[in-house]
Amino acid sequence: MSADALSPRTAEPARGSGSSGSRPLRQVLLQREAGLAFVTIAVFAFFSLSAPHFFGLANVYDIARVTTYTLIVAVPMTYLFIAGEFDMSVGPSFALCNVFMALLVADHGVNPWLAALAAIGLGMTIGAVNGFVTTVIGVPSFIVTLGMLSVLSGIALVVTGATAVPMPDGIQSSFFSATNGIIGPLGDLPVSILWGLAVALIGACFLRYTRFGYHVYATGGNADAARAAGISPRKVKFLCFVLTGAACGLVGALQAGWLKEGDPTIGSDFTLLVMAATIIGGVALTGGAGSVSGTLLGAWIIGMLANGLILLGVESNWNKFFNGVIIVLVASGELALKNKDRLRGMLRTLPQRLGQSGPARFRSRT
Amino acid sequence: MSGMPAADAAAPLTDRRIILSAEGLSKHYGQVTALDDVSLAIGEGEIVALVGDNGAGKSTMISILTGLVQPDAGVLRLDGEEVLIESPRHAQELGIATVFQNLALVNQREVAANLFLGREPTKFGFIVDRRRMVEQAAEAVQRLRVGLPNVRALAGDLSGGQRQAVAVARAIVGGGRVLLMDEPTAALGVRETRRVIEFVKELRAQGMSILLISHNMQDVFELADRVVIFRQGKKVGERVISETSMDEVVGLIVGNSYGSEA
Ligand SMILES: Nc1ncnc2c1ncn2[C@@H]1O[C@H](COP(=O)(O)OP(=O)(O)OP(=O)(O)O)[C@@H](O)[C@H]1O
Ligand SMILES: [Mg+2]
Repeated sequence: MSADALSPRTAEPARGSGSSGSRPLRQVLLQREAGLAFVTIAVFAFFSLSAPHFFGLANVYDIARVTTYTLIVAVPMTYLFIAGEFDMSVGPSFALCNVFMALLVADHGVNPWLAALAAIGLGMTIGAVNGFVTTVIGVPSFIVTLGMLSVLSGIALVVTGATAVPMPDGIQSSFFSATNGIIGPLGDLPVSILWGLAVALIGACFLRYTRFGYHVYATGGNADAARAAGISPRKVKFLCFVLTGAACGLVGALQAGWLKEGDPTIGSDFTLLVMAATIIGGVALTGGAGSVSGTLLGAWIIGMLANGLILLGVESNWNKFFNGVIIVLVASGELALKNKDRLRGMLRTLPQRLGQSGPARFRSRT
Repeated sequence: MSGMPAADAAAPLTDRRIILSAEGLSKHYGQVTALDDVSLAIGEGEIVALVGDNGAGKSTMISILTGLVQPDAGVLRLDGEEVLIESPRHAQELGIATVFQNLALVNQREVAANLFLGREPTKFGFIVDRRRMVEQAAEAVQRLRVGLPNVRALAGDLSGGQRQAVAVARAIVGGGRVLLMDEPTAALGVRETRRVIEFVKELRAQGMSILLISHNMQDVFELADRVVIFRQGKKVGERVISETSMDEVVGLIVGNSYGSEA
């Protein structure tokens, strides 16, 4: 490709901070983070005041425990979004890894720790397939992972006959204390929360401080620039897909440890939850920006909402509805912020445009 | 006579030592012939301008010299030795730095991160040493006397001229001795164009060899020692700046005998 084939010659507008019009990018990014923190606190305060039993250590732990799986996958999903891709197959990938782990333990007597590693390996393989088809063959990740979503849930249902796979009664392994134990001295802290926090912490540091993290941002921010600087956007994206798959394997294993069974239908809402956490967390839908700390807050907002609504007595199926609405609202909000000036212009000229058709309506466009 | 392709096989019109040269390059994109058997040489410490109408093949030339695309035919030589430039990174290692037409900056990232894109200084081999990066970036910016307020600013928040400065500074930070610049003053205002021009002069004074693509004849005549003219993928002329005129060069660009576009 030619160096300039991908960008029009006028693509470099003077965007001086002094110029009128759009605000500095840095300010936009900072405002988004601050806004997110504010929303998190506001949601917490709202439910604390209105929902019985919401405020309290036990319930906070409960939210954290439920949020942990979403968070673990939302972290690499953040990488993917920043690199300019995403993965819709995480729900069924989670379910298949969960079932795979349970089958290994139940039918083949595999040590749970080994089975968990195998589940992570399966997840990585799924991620590698997604990554390969996206980066090497060049099919958009929307299509690849949508297809994969169907393929994986199909496999999970077929191999289990659509029923749960229980592990043998009375099975003993340190794996189970490491996944569903509680830590008494910390007010009965569920161990699984620590897995989520560990993934988030490591994921945040990796993205922020390592060379790979820098290249993830560069890949999504400007793939041509990355390529011209000797970075391989394909490799970066591929690795992000593999990481996402590994996370699906990990939550599959954690879930198997938690319930001591595999459930082929477990991931049905999971893709949406992960997407919602990531998008609320403020990743740029077009790539290039986002942070794990944002995603952490996003996952928490989703978790608090689910928990709080139940405590308020709202029927739990409404939760799906709200999650969907929030995704669309947040995404619209992001674009609206970005195009604030255009939007303002549109609003200002709306009366004229409604009142008349014809050349006059172009008047206020410059 | 000026448009005769036969004249091009001759050695370049310079007696400087040739640093980087291309011989008989061709490049096709499907039906389109972007380059057709063109040769070009850049001498030590000189500025060679490459001019031609839109689609003449100038950017394609740069893409080949910087390893982004491989030619269908022809050879490249560095210090007289034949080289295969495999990738942008390889080009960097060979000392060939490029300022792309689209600038290739990551808007969402800091100036410092852009300056060191793809070669971030690290601790333990994988953790980016941000402090060192910012220090070195500030140093480079100061050394190059580019008017950048702060290397921690996001690239997307800079003006056109500042972005150009970042792109050039990045090329230099890599330690290149040949600099390829694709329309560095396009889309810039008068003052910022001036600044880039001064900047290019400064680089030449420091001994850099430069290939400069530009549509602006004033810039070409102010800066270049030699000018090479492409038309529709072919090299149609080469002139020493002091021995030619704008009229002649423009004539070569549009093709004297054809009037306007073919
Ligand atoms: N990746 C590509 N695929 C197909 N055709 C291409 C590609 N890159 C360049 N071309 C074609 O090759 C020809 C030369 O393009 P090139 O970008 O080198 O021109 P240029 O001299 O840089 O023009 P400009 O002044 O507009 O930048 C054009 O006809 C262009 O359409
Ligand atoms: Mg060009």
